[in-house]
Amino acid sequence: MTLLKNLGFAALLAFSAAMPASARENSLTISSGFLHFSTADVPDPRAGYNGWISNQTGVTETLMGIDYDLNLYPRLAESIEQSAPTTWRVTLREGLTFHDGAPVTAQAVIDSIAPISLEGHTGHNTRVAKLLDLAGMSADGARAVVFETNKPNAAFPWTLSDPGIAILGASSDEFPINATGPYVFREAVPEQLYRAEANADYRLGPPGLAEVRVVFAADPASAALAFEAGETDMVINYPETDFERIKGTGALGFSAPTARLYFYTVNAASGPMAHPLVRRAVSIAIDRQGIVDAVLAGVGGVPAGTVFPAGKGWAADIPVTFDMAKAEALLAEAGAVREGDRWMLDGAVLEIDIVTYSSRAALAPTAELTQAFLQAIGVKANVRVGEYGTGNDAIAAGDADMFLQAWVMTPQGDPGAVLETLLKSDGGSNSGRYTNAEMDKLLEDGRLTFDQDERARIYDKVQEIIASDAALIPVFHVSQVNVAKPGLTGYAVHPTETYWITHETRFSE
Amino acid sequence: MRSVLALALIFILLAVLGPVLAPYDPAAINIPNRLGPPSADWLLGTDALGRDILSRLLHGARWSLGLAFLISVIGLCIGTVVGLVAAQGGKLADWSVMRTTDTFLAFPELVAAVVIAGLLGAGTGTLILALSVTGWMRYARVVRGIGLALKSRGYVVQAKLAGMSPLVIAHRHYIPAMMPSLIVVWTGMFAHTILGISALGFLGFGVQPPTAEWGTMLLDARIHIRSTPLQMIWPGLAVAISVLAINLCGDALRDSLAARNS
Repeated sequence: MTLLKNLGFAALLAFSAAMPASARENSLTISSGFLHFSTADVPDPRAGYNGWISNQTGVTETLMGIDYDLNLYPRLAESIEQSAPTTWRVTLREGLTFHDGAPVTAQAVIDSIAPISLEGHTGHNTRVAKLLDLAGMSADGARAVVFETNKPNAAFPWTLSDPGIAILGASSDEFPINATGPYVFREAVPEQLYRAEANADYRLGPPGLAEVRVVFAADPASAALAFEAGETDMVINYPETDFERIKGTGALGFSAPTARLYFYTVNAASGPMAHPLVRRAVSIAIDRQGIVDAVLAGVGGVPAGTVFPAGKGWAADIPVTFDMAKAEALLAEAGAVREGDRWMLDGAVLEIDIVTYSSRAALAPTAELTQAFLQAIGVKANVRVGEYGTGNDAIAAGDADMFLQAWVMTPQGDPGAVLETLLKSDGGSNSGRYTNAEMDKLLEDGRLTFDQDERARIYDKVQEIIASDAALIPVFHVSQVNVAKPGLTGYAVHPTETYWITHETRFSE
Repeated sequence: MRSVLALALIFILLAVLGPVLAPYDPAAINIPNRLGPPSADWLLGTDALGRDILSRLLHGARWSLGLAFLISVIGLCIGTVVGLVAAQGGKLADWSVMRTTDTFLAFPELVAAVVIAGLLGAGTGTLILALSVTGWMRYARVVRGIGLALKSRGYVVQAKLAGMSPLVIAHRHYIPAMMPSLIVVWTGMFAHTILGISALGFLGFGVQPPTAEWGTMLLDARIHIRSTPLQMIWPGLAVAISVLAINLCGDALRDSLAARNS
């Protein structure tokens, strides 16, 4: 991807030179480092992760939404009720219309969601189909949709907030993505541009901007240069080290914690990290505040004690711990023996191989700092920076001990989905092969428990196990650092990173 | 000429003695002193992890210049052998070897190196392999050209008639005659390889952290180009000056050899 990104950057330079920054009056041009959607001219919001950009630009909307405190709220839905363990009834708001003016009916919602499970359809999405796990859907009158799931699933209402479950009407040449949001899709160039125009008939009032353009920036530094040159109006993921300076020039700065977590997947099946005590020692030997200060200039992240951002949604109250002496004591307790400036474990030098990838600027220095912190307690560590797939393969094959990754832990606001894929014994992304019967049972219970207080207790327990067993090692939650031209109002950093522009976003006079 | 040689000598000495001259451990992280400006303690300032930039440049010289030396010598050896086979072999050998060389030349070297490095994964071994595979063709063409000219010389024909093996003929007659031209080509390729290593390092295919290398230093510093541009300027200058010095050396050598021949 590094090669592709740099080629994309070259293309952007050529492209941006010919493209006016604001093609229309009252246009907002945003540069973003991640503009991944399918190579189709019309990226179906239901496929892959196409829904992210359409949700971010206010083109598509979902039945349920996630607010800025990671709480669930009805979006296109007026209400959601559970009538049986596997039956959910969603009532739509009155008077909803698609961009082409057609009414949003219960049948239209069914017709929009059904293709997600249809192989060969442009909207097919295995990931989302698995999240939905639908046995069937039926319309109850014009405004109510009854969803039947295969198994009881307490996360179902949250799942309906996934940007991939965008509600779409019949497409046409004028409205190739016929959605319901404040902006209407106009064109897309993969890895280069996504453009939308105002939907004057939006249900909550006319949008504040005439046009929204998102252009791809290969890295934050190039995005910063384009912003200062006046080629863009806003940068998502501005270089943290330049944040204070650019604010001093009058630019607006936005920074708030998100649910994107930098964390280590550990090889729990073989090697030194198979010892829970060694994992814990490694975890508490990492100076997370030091990493945030050094890598993110103190503004781009918040040290993470647990997997969810502190004080929001499902986060348990687990403190961030940095204690080198305790780390060494844990190593000794694990049976390691200190010989001079190194530790011996099971007759061999305790050596930890860290792998990560280069597509996010903070990953490599975070791994380097971790290496330094481990060496400070006498644990030899090696760092390899490659591609995402290489790192994942290395940890799965037992060729590495720790894999530094960056994931949004609650993309749908629900605590279960990501933890299940990362930590359940049969989790699809459990590349470290972590197994813990208690964890499996808790995650299963979390999915089957509908009482929200009880669910909160279950996921608190899950987070306690993650901390005590170092099932994965959280490092920091990203604080998204964005800047915009003076005068931009109605914008705030959203913790899921999937919401940018609302109908209220506008430039003040 | 002397000043150019002196500059090149300084860089060679830096590559050899850099680690001895470095005032600090190049991997020693010092977070409180991160992104520090040049000062009496840190002559060129510190990087984002508080590491001394001067020490990293000096250690990086060994990697950037040392690897470039190694890779250009590997290319020299491969290219010489290939060129000699083309020159000394029959028409079929010449045709097949040179078409292979042309095929390799048809690919832009850096792009081919990036593809190889991308397929095999980042690392020093991959870097050496990628640049060696794409760096031997110019030698082969030069050696083949000179070899074909020598082939019909009387002393070479005599040696063949005397039953000397191709290896001995190459050792006694071809290589001494080719050496001046090869040295000039090699200096150009040495400088070219420094750029290749830096480019691959900048693209993320270089040596692995925390090892200091000039291209990787540029990569690490690019995020700070607005706030602390010196971080990028120092390794950039090191690459530019070393390449310039070596290229000027090559030019001076070429002029010297041309004067001697005339």
